[in-house]
Amino acid sequence: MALRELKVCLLGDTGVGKSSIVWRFVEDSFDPNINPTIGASFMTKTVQYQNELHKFLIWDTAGQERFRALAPMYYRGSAAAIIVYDITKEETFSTLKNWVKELRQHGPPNIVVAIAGNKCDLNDVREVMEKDAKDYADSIHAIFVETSAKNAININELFIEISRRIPSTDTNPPSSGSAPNLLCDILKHFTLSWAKFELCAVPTDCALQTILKVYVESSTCFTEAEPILVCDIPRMHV
Amino acid sequence: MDALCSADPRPRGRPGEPPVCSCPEPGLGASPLPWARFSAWLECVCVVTFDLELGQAMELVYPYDFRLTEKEKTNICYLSFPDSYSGGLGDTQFSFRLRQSGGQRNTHFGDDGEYNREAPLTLQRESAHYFGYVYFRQVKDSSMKRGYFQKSLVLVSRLPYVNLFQSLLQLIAPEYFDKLEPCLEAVCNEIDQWPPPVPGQTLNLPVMGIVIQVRIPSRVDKPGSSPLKQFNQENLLPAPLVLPSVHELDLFRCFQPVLIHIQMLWELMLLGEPIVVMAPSPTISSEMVLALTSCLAPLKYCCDYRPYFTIHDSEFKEYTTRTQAPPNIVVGVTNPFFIKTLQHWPHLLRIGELKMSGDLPKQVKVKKLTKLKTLDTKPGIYTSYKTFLHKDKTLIKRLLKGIQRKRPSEVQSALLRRHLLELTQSFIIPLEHYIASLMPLQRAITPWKNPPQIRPFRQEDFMKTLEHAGPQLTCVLKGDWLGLYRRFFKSPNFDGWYRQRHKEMTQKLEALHLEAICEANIVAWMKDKSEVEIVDLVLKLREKLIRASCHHLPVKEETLQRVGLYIETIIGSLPEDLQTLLHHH
Repeated sequence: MALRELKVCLLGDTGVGKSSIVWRFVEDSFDPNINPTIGASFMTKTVQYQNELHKFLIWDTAGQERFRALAPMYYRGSAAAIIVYDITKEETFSTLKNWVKELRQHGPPNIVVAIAGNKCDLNDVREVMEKDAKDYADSIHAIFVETSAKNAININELFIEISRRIPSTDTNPPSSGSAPNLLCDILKHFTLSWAKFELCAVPTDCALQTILKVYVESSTCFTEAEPILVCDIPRMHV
Repeated sequence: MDALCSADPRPRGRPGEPPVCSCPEPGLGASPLPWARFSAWLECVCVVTFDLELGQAMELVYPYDFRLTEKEKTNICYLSFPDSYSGGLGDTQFSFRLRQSGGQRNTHFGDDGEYNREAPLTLQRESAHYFGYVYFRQVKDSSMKRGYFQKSLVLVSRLPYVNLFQSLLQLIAPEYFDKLEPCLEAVCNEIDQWPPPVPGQTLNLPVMGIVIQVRIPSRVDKPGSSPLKQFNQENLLPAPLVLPSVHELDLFRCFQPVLIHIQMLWELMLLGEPIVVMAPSPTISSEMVLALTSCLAPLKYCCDYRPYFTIHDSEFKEYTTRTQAPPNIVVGVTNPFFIKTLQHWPHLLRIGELKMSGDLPKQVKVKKLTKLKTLDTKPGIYTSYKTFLHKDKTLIKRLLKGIQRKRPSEVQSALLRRHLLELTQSFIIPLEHYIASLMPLQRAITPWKNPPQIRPFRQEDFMKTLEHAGPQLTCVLKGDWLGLYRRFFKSPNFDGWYRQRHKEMTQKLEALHLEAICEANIVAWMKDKSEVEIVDLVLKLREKLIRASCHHLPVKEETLQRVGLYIETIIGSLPEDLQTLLHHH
């Protein structure tokens, strides 16, 4: 079964429940007294989607304003962004719209955007109407769900929907998932040939970089951190 | 979660996780100690800046509660900046090593022992020194009074992982200079989620939206085996940033101006000779010193070394004194003042910016020490040292040919590293054989006597073995091997190697002794023994068990349990009053 690594980041105001959503998805647990995230925390979870395994590399970012400027490091190279708001706090929905704008301007071009209205278990203190949020999400072609990390509502569904929206490997080659594998193959191949040909007539670093650059540039939905791969080719030892 | 050794999803400071303790206090983390995971990798991160009034000044130490002594702070400040005027603008990276001052300190990191037992000797955590990994930025900035922005981000660690930490700096430092403290806070918290460095494991280390993948070498790795191959065997996923090694430098690049002198440099390092490396920049100086200390692997370079050293360092006087012979140390310096201060040292390697002659890198020449006194010293190795072994011309030819054919630097480095490895192994194998022969015979180990002694190392006996089993069996290099061994016996590297082997053999003997006790018929032995002798046996066995667990002797758990049972049996055979006494003991 093919394995694809999908970088996903969570964005949104402080206290809306980004970490709780990730915690529910990865560990299936919930803690009402969770501490604010500092910087970001990283978790992974692999799920099967059709005939593929999707390994989500989840970057759960801090919502606090002082970490605001760090966000690009986390959405850079992401296949999907989950923007979370709190249905009981109108202002968190406004923050969400700013995140959408920022992603449109600076995010990866084909990033899948998912909007999660969290804390839907608190319906009686709701401030954001579901329909308003849904209409907004539709207008920007984003995934939309209302979730409750506390009651485990729509959390898995959210990630399944992301899997569905990510271009599949069959229809859209070269796709994000196979790219790192191919890269590794290229590197392995060269390493082997170096050994075989008595260390002569090998491609230079420069040639290798060109190959990688061409490859990276041609794969539009490459999910990894492209610039780093291009300039920091793993050093090989024969 | 995946079976992969990826970061634990439990960030510090989260209460109420899968319930370990019943009622977590709010605000307390799941880790037993704050920063426990962080300190498995780093001691702290420092920001050093240039203050118009103070000069170099420590702007920030993170985590805030990490304590550096004033002396350490001052040293770090000077070691994090170029020592002499450097007009170059832009970013540079270099490394230093400094002596810890103020005695042992509690680190947040619990146990060095387990890591140090499994890591290669050359990659053990330092107990009395810190490494500093520096990213220095110097750019024009009209908003600053001085007209320049000059600042260093410094990672302070006990681990000699130069490649990992310099790669990490390359990622985080530019972001830090742009986004300042929150960025540092974020990075440190991410590092605090990293799995600990376990020898033999390939780890995924997430930081700033990227996952670094790297393998921690293990003592049981075959020397010289390719890290990439090991990586494939483990069948792990490709990660965005794969580092081929935590510690290996591009040896070929570092040694470019001295390729034809590799043999001499290897010998000087093996013998622990005092060497000054005088380089045009801290980068070149620190890389050269680290390349030199790594060229003895798998033998550990046991002397002190300073990849970059300044005139302000607190050890300056100690190293430059003329009242004693120069210490066994390699120092990398950039300030020309050192030529004057260290002119009594026996070996000075002066390197300049790399120059090409045709398409080959210009090689420095060996020069007489007397030529050193001029103010503007030309590149060269200033020494009167004559090598014991002849140089390997085929290696040099091969490397030079590789340059002409534009063979990748990685491959050239691999060739060079292999050559040095084989050279060290050829040298050390006869010593390993000889020391192994000093182990007492298995049949000399009996349960009722103390374990037999390891026979003493006699240099002349060892020399006699060389005739039949010397390095000539594995190495084509001709020369005065005997002379080289004689000099080596006087060096701290021999001492370090001998102590390590002796310790391992002693522990092995103790383990074998415990096993012999296990096999013995205790009941038969006790028959004609007095109570005093039996009580004495109980106490001795107990002591042995404690030693076994304290020193992590290579004994099976089963053996330990059996010895424990024996003790119970013996105690059971004694009168009741003695039994209670021994149980309370």
